[in-house]
Amino acid sequence: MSKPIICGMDAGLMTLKIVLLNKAEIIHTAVMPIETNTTAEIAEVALNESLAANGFTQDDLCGIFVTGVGASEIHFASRILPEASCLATGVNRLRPVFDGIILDVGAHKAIAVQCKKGIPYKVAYSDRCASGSGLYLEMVAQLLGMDITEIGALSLKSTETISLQSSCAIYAESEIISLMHNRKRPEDILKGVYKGLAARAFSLMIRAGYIQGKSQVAAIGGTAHNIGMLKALEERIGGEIWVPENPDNLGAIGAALMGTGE
Amino acid sequence: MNYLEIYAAILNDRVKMIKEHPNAKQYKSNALLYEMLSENATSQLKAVQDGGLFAFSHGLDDILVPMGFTCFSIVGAADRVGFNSDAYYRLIRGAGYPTTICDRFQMGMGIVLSGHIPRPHLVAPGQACDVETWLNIATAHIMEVPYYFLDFRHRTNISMDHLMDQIHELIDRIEKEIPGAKFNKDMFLERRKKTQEAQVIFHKIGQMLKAKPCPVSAKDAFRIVPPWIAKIHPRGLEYVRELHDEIKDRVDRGFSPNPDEKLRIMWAVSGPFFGSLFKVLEKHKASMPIFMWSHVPEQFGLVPKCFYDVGEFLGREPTDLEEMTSSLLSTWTGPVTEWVDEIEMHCRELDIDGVVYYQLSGCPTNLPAARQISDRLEEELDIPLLPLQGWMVDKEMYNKSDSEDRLDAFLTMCLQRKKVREGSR
Repeated sequence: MSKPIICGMDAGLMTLKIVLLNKAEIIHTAVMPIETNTTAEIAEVALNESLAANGFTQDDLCGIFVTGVGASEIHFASRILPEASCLATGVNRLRPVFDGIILDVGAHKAIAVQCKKGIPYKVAYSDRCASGSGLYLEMVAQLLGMDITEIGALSLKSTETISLQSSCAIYAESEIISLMHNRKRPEDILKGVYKGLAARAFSLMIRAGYIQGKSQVAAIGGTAHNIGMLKALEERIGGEIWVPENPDNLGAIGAALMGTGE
Repeated sequence: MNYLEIYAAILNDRVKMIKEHPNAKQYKSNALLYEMLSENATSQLKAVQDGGLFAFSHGLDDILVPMGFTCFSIVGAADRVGFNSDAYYRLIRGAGYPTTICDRFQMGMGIVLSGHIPRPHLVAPGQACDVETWLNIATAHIMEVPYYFLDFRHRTNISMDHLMDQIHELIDRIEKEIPGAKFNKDMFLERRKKTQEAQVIFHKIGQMLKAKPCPVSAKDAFRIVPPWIAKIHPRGLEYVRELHDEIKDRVDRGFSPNPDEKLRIMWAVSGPFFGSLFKVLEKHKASMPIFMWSHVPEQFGLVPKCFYDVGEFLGREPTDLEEMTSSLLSTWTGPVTEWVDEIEMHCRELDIDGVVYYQLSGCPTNLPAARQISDRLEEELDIPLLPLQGWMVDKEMYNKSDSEDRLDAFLTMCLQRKKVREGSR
């Protein structure tokens, strides 16, 4: 009997996402924090735990297909696959023949992929600046003495419009500290932060071929959980954004599916 | 240290390596090319040491060499300072120069401040953008030598006349102000003739680049030099002919460094001259027929005078001086519409599947052009453009894995799109 299990992994800066496929059916998904471990260590643990949880061993593995910023560190991978293709394949699995823009704002960077009939057509990446990424939100939450999971909902209570001028995370930090000293409310500061992030993401989407009023948008990655970010983005584009039920695993699903040749 | 000495030594090492370790995928004629460039650097240095007239110029050598000058291009040298770029960056950053300007400016200023190049008699930027013009003007101030600055912009009847007037004035003033300088028309015409002969051969080479699989390796596509090579060395035309014959032989034999070609990529603007993205191209079996670093069609592209014929423009046969002047207006610093048209035409003619736009950070011309070129390629040819944030020689700013990942993803996408295009035909 041929080996039935295919593993897909998406190695981000903060988390590793893992998916197991059995004959192209998704049988397992998990997200594991990387913390102080190496990506390779976490990948090995994730793999063994995932296989064991489903009654399999590494002998049942047909291949391990990886993507993401830390993919090259996973030395036991069968193949490293490009992120844009994995994201497109993953989204297309959940919403077949996807036409539109996939926006993935991860901890490390943001990426926008234009898909036409499920195929990646154009890709745009954020610049090296951290202010377009999830890490920036972590920094803002820390400054305000809050947890990252709290800030999205709080921003929706904003009543005052604040514009953050800085396009750099380092400058933004000092600007936020100044706003705090000026007794601006956290919800208004957060709204300004999300507005700035949404503007950067919008510019990225435009570079990837987004057409306002025409293109549908799928938000995935860590910040797709963040209601503040989603609302700010929806306000910026003047339309709705589709968020898959589990937006973290699309890259890993895509990698596994590409491993099957899909 | 002297820039010209080091540069000549590096070229000699390359010649030695090519001869000792021949690589069938790369041009044999590269050895002759590097020999000529090395000898040229050595003879430039000797001419200066012997007390000859010496000028910093970029594009005005057609005027200055026939006046008795040895010409050195600071911006040309800036492209080739990988061997000492770290030291030059330290020098200019320590001197407070901006880091957000293109590294042609930064390296050019580094060479000037380091004293690694002898003081010239004059500075005369010709085919330069604003940034390079200011680099040359600053150089003239730092070295306390006169500069002659041509005012030109886009190609119109007015700018042609305006530039011709300035060329005549330039010759008159230099003859009056620099002892020993005298314009030699015969030498000027001889150099023009060599350039024109080389251009004809380069256009034939351009046609051969259409062959599939591509007869040129990506490394050699980066290495290609413009027709000026024919006028800077007595064996220049011999090299151009040798290059032509070598490519023709490959095409006739069906030889390609990438025989299982799956993709054809154009590389535009600049390149990471210290790094290597060639492995990613090899992984995807991607050929690179052409490196579009400037107005290639008028220099050595596929169709001679495809966008501009000075004779047609003037409504009469142009003089040699008018032809030369017209070529000065063919510069990357002009309106981006020319870049857009040229890149589209070359992609169409060479059946390109995607363009890697290695944008030179800090360059006010190529950065805004990326969006227009991308839109045109999508609309007209249904092919994508990858903008990569680029530095030519700044290793600190270069993110190797990021660039490789993006190129890898881009080439995967190009292949997927190519299949869709072919399926819809």
